[in-house]
Amino acid sequence: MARAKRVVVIDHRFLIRAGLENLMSELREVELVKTFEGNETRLSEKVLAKKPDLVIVNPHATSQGFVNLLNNIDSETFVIGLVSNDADVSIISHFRQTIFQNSNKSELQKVFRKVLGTTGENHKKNGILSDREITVLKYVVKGYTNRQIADELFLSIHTIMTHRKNIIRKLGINTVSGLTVYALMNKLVIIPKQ
Amino acid sequence: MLIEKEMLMAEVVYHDHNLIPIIGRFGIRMGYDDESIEELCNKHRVNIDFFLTILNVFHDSEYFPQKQMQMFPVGMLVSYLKKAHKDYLEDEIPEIKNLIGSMISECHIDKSTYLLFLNFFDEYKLELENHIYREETKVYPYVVALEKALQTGKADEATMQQMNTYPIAEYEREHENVEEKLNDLKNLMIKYLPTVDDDRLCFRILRELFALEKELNEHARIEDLILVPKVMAMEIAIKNREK
Repeated sequence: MARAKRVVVIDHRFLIRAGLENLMSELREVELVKTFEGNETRLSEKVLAKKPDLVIVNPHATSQGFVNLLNNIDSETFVIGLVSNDADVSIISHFRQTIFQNSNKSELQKVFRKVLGTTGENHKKNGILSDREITVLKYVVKGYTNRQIADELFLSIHTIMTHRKNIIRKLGINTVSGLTVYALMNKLVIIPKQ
Repeated sequence: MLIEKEMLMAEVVYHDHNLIPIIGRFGIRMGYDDESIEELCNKHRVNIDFFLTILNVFHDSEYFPQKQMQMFPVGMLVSYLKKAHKDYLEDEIPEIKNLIGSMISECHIDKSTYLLFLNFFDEYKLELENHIYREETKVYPYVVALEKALQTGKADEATMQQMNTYPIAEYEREHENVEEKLNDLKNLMIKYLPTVDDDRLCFRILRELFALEKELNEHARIEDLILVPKVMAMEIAIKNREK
């Protein structure tokens, strides 16, 4: 399984930091590694030390120089500006991507998913399937036979059957179509666009 | 409680109101007055023993119909089962579907999850329809033909062929998948469907699903406990005679 995407948030308001932290906890394979208020000394060093994949920064919480620095550091790090709804184009134009303070939850999630390339919400909220079981479930939903899944994962067919039994027992869902609905609901798989 | 013919119908319904639709399938509608089961059955030309057997199977899941209960003409059994099918397909399933539709139209967040749920329900509905269609076009005519063959002493080609290739024991295995899907529907709703604005609506859907599940289970028990043994006995009788 891929390493969790690392996120850093810089905003001077506690409520905003807490809100983003909450939102990130619902995303799969995403970890909010650190929040900053924006006025810390040697902020850029501290941020870079976290090797973030994504930095969400409120430009009003910190200096313009810092924002410019962020944008120039490293192409691997994505920077999102958290701006007010009536923010001036001159501010928005500093960022490849912005989110607004009155964005609703699904808009925010959409942006994060796009930027981080994750597939969905944190299944761990439901908390019960192991990573391996989720992998098997994804194949089951795609219509793979036990044999095919075993070949894909280099496991014995017996192991796959055990995983399937455990999935059914844990979820209480028996049919493949039921499992498909579960997987789609939890964004474990996505419906391909027509 | 064992339901007996001396009991007042109203009393039976006080004990178990879930029986109302089943009683209705025999043409006995509410407004039972102070009449006993026997009186009402006579009035509506309903076979009392058969009526009591069906009611008791539904009322008490431990109830096991006695051997002589398999003596009913299969036509009677089949016509009851068909009425029940009609209720499922024409009333109960569309009602649940309507409720799910209302739930979706009243939800103000992302509807896609609920549409998936509706989709799954449609899949279940189709499977139930197919199952019922097969029973009514393949199994029941076969059962009636068997009885006729026993009575007349002549079994036609088609009946004999079905008896040899697809005896009644075969078809019983097919109930399973339909039951599993219904169970999954309930579980998805209880455990995994995101919270909706209208709890009462959700509760109603769930109540209907539970009621449908109970009905279908009892329906299957009637088939398993009365129809199947009876048909198996007829199959053996015909085989013995052909020898």
